[in-house]
Amino acid sequence: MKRALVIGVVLLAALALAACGGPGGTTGGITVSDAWARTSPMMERAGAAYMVLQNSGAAEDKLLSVESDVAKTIELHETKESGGMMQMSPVPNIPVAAGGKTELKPGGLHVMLIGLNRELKAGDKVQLTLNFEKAGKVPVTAEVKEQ
Amino acid sequence: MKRWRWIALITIGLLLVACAHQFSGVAPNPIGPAPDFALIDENGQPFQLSDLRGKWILLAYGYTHCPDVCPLTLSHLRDVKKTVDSNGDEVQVVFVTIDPERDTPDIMHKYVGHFDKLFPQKFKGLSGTPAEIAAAAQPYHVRYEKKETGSADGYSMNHTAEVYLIDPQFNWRMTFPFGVKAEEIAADLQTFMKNPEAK
Repeated sequence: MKRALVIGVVLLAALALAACGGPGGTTGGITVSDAWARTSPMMERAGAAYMVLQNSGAAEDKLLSVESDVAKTIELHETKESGGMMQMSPVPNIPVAAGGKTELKPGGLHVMLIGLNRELKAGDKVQLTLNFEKAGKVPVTAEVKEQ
Repeated sequence: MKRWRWIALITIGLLLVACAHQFSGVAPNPIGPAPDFALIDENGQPFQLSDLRGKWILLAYGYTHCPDVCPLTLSHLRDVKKTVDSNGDEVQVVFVTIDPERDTPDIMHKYVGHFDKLFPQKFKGLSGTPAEIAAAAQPYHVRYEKKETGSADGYSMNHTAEVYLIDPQFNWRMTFPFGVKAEEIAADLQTFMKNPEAK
C-alpha cells in the first residue's frame, strides 16, 4: 500500500517535471532547440519538422518516436544523397551521442507528419512529444515557418 | 592628396570585386539550346517549355509526396523570384513531377499554388504520362526511380534535385546543384540579367 503511494508520488513528480520541459527545455540530459515545422503545401501531403537535439548526458540516447495531434502518423525519416540522387527513407530511430548533438534539418534527418489533421500555417505552433530511449518524453513546441 | 589616392584605390578594388562575380551554378559546355518538351500543365492544358521563350526559366524536377527536398527547392525558387522579379514576368518557375502516377494536374495545381501565391505570374506545375515525363527528364540528365520504403506515406521517389536556368533566347545557361542557396541563385541570375554574356 505504502509502496503504491510512493510510486504514485514519484510518477506524479515525473509528469510534473516532464510538463515543465516546455520548448527548448532539458529533460534527462536531452535539450531540444530551434524546433520548427514547414508550412504545408496541401493537406493531402505530408509535412516536416526539424530541430536540434542535444545530449548532455554521459550515455548515448535515441529519439524513438514522435507524437502529436497534428498528424495521424508520424515517422522519422532521413534524406541522403546517393549516386547523385536524393533518397528519402524511414529510420528506426535517431541517435544522439553522449555530450553530442544531432541536427534535424532540410535535406537530412526530419520528422515526417503524415496525414495532417490541420493545415500548417506560418506562425502557428505545433506541440510535439518526443520519446527518447533514456530521457523518456520530451515536450517540444515547433513554430511553423515558410522555408 | 594622399586621401584621394586611397579613395581611388578603394573604389577600384570595389569595382573589381563587383566585376568578378563567382557563379554558384555550373554552365554547360558549350552553352546551347535548351531541350524542349511537351507536357500537361496544372490547369490540364498542353504546355510546351519553349512557350516560355523570352523569359528566364528556373526549371526543377520533383514530386509532391516529398516533404523535405522539394518544398525546400520550391521555396528557394520563390525567394529567387521575389528577389529578382517579384512583380514582373521576366522569371518563370517550372516544376515537373517525376511521379506522374500520383501527381495529376489537379494535385500539381494545389502544390505549386502553395509557393506562387505572391506572384501575378504563377509557377507552372507539369505532369504527363510516364513516357512524356521520361522524355522531359532525360535531356536534362534528370534521373529518378521508385522505391518502396515501408512508410505510411507510400513509396518514395529517389531523384536528382538540380535546378536548371534557361535564358530568354531559350539557351540552357546553368545548372545549380542541390543545396545552393536562394541568394546564390538570385546573384547568378541578376548577373546574367545585367550582362547576358557574363561567364
